[in-house]
Amino acid sequence: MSEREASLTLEVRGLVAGYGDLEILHGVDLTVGDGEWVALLGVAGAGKSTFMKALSGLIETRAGSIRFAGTEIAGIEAHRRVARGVALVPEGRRLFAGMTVAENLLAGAHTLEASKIAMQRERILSVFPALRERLGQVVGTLSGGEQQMCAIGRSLMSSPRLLLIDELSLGLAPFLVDELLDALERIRCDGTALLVVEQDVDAALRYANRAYVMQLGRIVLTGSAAEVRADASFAISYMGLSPT
Amino acid sequence: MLLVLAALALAPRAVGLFAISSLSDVFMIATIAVALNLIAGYGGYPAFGNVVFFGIGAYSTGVVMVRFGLPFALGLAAGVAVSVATAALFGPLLFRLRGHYFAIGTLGLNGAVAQLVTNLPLSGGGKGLSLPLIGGSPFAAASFFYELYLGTLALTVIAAYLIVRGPLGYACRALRSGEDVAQSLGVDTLRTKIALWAASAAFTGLAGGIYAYSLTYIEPPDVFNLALSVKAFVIMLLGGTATLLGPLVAAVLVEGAVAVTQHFLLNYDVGVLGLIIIAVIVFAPNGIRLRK
Amino acid sequence: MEIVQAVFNGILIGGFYASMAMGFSIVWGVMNIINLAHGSLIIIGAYITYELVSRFGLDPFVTIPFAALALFAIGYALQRYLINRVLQASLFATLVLTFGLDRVLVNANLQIFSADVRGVTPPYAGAALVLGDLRLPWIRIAVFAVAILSTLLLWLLLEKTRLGTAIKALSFDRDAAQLVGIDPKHLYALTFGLGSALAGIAGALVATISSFSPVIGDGLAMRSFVVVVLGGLGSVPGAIAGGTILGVVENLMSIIAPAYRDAAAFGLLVLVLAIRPQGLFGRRFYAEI
Repeated sequence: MSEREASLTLEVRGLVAGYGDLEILHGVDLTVGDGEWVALLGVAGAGKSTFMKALSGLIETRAGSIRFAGTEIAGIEAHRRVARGVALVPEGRRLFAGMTVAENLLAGAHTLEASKIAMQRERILSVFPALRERLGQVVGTLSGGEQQMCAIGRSLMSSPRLLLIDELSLGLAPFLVDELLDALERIRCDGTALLVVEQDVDAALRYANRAYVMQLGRIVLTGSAAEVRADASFAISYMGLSPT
Repeated sequence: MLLVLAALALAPRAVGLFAISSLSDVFMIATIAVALNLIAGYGGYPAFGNVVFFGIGAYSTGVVMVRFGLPFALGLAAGVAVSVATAALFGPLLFRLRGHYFAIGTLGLNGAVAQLVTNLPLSGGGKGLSLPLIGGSPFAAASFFYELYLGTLALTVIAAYLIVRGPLGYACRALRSGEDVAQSLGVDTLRTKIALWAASAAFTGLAGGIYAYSLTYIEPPDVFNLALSVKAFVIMLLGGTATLLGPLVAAVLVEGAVAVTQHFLLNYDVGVLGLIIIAVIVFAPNGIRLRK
Repeated sequence: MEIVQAVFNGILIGGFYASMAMGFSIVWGVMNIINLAHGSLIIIGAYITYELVSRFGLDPFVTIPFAALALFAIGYALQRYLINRVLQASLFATLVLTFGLDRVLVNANLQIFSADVRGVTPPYAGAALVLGDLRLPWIRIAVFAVAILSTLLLWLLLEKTRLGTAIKALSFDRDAAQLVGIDPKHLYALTFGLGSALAGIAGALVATISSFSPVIGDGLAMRSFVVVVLGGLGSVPGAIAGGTILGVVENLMSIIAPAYRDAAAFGLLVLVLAIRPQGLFGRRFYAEI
């Protein structure tokens, strides 16, 4: 039992969170194991973004627990969670608009020791070579795919143990999504666990080990990627197929 | 609300000079607050320098009465007219700005007009302007101004109420949802903003005109005084402006606090006003909602 | 010739205006706070210099680091424990808060130091660089040099250090900044502290070249925003350009129409807002409104 716990990078139990008077998440349970790729699926409005924000600390946890590498982090401020090894690539990327790619990456290294910055940057540029030519470019002028790479790169600069990505492929052409997925798989193999929110079922499940489906603030389905994909009720509620 | 109004209107029969002049001050600042809310609250444009209209109203009334020998009523009318004209004139210029830039713009306007008034011989320059005395006993005079201030406050609140319910109010709500939204709904955003500001200017100018005649001596730093805008804003926050009672109570609190501190801590009054402001903002940065 | 002298005087004072305005500018640019108490903070710096010079006989330029440090601490505390609570409230609210703060500080200064006008006159105050008909007091040249130096140091901090990158990031997107580990409360306080430190330096310089009293702070604050609006928010070259323009215009007005010298600042403000509100060098260097 304790051996299994130790290999869990993330363990969420009964998470309740919301905005103002509105409760969005009504008790969510979810785990991510060491070096796993877990997909979080659900239609728009299911609560996925809210969940990611609660994990990263941007919104408060009202009830339940979030254990990261064995320690409770639900009460910890957002910026401190980064130093512990949780990094979120937010919905809409939220790059630092007036700054260059290099500056954005440098900002991402805020919690990293100065001596390690150059090496970390090299690792990221080897995963996203397209960024190498664009280091001096202001991020506002990058294409959608490049911006997403820069955003992911920025979050990776802190050397996280768990990378959270909210809406990976939104607005991107399929071949770009493929490139991103391949890059992320390389990152995962290097040791970073991934929790990815993704609307495109195919992209979401391609490299994922396991998946969860969220609906109206609760987990309604979970299992290995293959199991989830095959589940009939998933097909019906998520993809709108009629029961055969 | 009518009961309160009636009670207040009849008050001079029952209370003394001190109460009447204190309440007059309260009505005056409450009026400025309700008028400020028209542009800052409904309109969403933080007109920090709105006190410029108070000064314009005061000086227009003064100049009309002193240089042209015309009666008070015409002086007030002039005050309102010039205030409205100023808003209409500078509106197109300043409404291109947003947020802090607009606020500074209005501050600049206030400063510039104050400088102008200080340097024009017409307005008495830096030495100030003396208006004719109203005559009659001090009590009668004070009562007269009391009723005038009360009436102005009531008028301002009613106007605000009507504006919110009318087409202008609809336009404001659209504006607050966003310029583009408003424009796509067919709202002429500039006209809306100018109309709001003109209304705000009119009532502020009216208060200024009354102030000039009641005090009989005005100087630029007195009437173009930012502290009035600031007090008005604090009252806006504390009292809301949907009712007559709200701003009234808030104004009483603020003026009362200032008066008390002036009495006991003569040298510190400026600082204490600052502390009061800080306290209000820290504890109620977005205002207190009073129940109607 | 009078005009040339006026222009040079304007340039020298312009450097001072630029450094004074930079403190105001970073607070506005990064935190979207117009600090109406900026003038009073400058005056506190001036008093620190005055006290150190009159009590300990220090040279005014030596007091600059003390003024800077003291104001940094004051500014950090003010932001962290007071202004921070109001950061998310309306714009009017933050304006009014800093206005209230300014009133409190002015009052405090009046109580502690009295309304007497003071100044610091070091023994070398009279010496000047003379070039033909042009007379440039060394002390004003030194003030100019210090001002430009402090402005450049700030620029270096913002552009070339990790701290500067973090501050800029915070100004662009508070949430995203948190997501890379930046602590907003601490960094906002640091930024306000830096702005206050610059105010402290400006105060030390004011004490050296002019007389001062608690009430002149307002005029200095107003000039700070004219310079920022003129030069463009968040731009260091803008602040230098803006400061120089204001300085030159004011000095020329002293010759042409002395009564309207103060109106010159207002006039410039209105002009810039009318024609080019983002100022000369305004660009998305810091996040705006």
